[in-house]
Amino acid sequence: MDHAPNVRHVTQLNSDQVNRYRRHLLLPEVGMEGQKKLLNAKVLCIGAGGLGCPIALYLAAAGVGTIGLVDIDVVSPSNLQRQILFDTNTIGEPKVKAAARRLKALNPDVSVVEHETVINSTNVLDLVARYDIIIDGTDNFPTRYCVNDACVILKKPNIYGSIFRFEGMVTVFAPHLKNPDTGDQGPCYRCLYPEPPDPGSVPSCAEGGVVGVLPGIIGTLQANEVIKLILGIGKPLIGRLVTFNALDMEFRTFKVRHDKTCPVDGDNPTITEPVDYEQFCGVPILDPKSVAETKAEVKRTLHGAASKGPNLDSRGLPPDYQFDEDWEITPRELKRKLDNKDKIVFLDCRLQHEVAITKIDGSTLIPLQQLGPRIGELRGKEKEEVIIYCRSGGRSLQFAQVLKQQGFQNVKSMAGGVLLWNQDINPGGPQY
Amino acid sequence: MTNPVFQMIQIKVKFFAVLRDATGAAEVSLQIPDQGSVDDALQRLIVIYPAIARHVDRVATAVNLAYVGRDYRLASGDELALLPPVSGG
Repeated sequence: MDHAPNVRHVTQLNSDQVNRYRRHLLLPEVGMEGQKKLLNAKVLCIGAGGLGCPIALYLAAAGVGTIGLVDIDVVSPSNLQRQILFDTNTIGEPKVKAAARRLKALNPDVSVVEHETVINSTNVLDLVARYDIIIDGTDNFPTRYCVNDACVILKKPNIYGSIFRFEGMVTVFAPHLKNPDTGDQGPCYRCLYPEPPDPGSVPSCAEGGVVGVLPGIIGTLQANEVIKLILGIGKPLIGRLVTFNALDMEFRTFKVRHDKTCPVDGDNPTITEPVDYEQFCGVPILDPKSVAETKAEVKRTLHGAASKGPNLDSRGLPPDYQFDEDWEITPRELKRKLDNKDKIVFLDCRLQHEVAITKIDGSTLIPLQQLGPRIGELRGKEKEEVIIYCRSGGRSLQFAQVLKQQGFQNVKSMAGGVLLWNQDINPGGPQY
Repeated sequence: MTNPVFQMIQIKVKFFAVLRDATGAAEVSLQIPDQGSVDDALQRLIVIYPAIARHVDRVATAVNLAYVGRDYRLASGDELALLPPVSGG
């Protein structure tokens, strides 16, 4: 369903359209001419997630004539806390398909182009070239750099938004346009962040959580910038970056500036075409772990809570799990030890609020973050068998490695964490 | 005459996103030598909050709501904001 946007040109509004857009027509800043501009605009929204949902809804309602949506995901139950294009009945459906239906129902004037794909260095130029304005509402660094570079190369405004827990930021990257306050060239994403963060150092929404209303606030700010740019009104957010904190209810506006040494829009650019962004960022665009989690979530919803999820192998591990004999123990082995009442030091290294969601009985809570100050509680047990678990096996492995450095001789992390435990040993137990 | 190296100034540091979690604070006061740079302030913060060490190379830095480079010289009462990259959407 990946066809080129319809080429059509609205020269006059019919009477239905006059009724529909009456509130816009009353604004001298919009009026008939402005509404025609909206109907003739082509906007590409990359990511139909937390940000993409409110953006696409408001742009469709405003009568933006062509809206392209890029997303390869299907709707999963944990999306519904914030992704307001979707509903319970659309779980398991491709997001672009469910979104297109909702947007068409909202406004038949809008043609929605479904790009059910991953944007990458091979297709980004072709996709971006077909639209006037690009919106970055993705959830990963490789795509953000990819979209940035393509927008700089093709001179398209990039309406940027990103969110983290209770905080978000918005700006317009358009180095081909001027900062309205200073007349200077605006920055691009690489001017602010030339290098991506270390892989794994910045949690995603799936890992760190996000308050549901936050993408609504940030996304509608992005939609507002899109509409201003289409209409050519107001002061675009070029050269300014707005941060928002939902807990403090605080907006801050930072002046940002173009970097002459920027590798993509500086004086001597070294990047003149898209590069390999997964290699550049050291992470895949689609995190296989989160893809698997989405699949399992959808399956559980559609086929009942007791569904065992993906088939596990003879040791109770997911089929392609890279089990590390030196550092890990399977949930089944742990279960055997607990049933036998073996003498083990059994630790949960998650955070207090995660324990309230689900836990394995008999464990002591020492969050990974508190290991430094609380290691004294484990002193004297250096020779005992220590087994640690967390949500999915990452933090507990780090915990185990620290303990080993500290002289603990027999330390193991439970593979797959409590999520795997709740698939294999305690089926139907919460997945989060 | 006082040696300028030993004159200390106080600045305000604001942490955003993952740095808030790593430090457990949204805002702190920091003493640095007068005319110390943004980079000097960052090095001092790493000593106080070792958990931010893995992030500081990549954070964008702003003083008094304007982005600045690492060599920018700080003055008493300046507000230094540290904005790490955020990818969520």
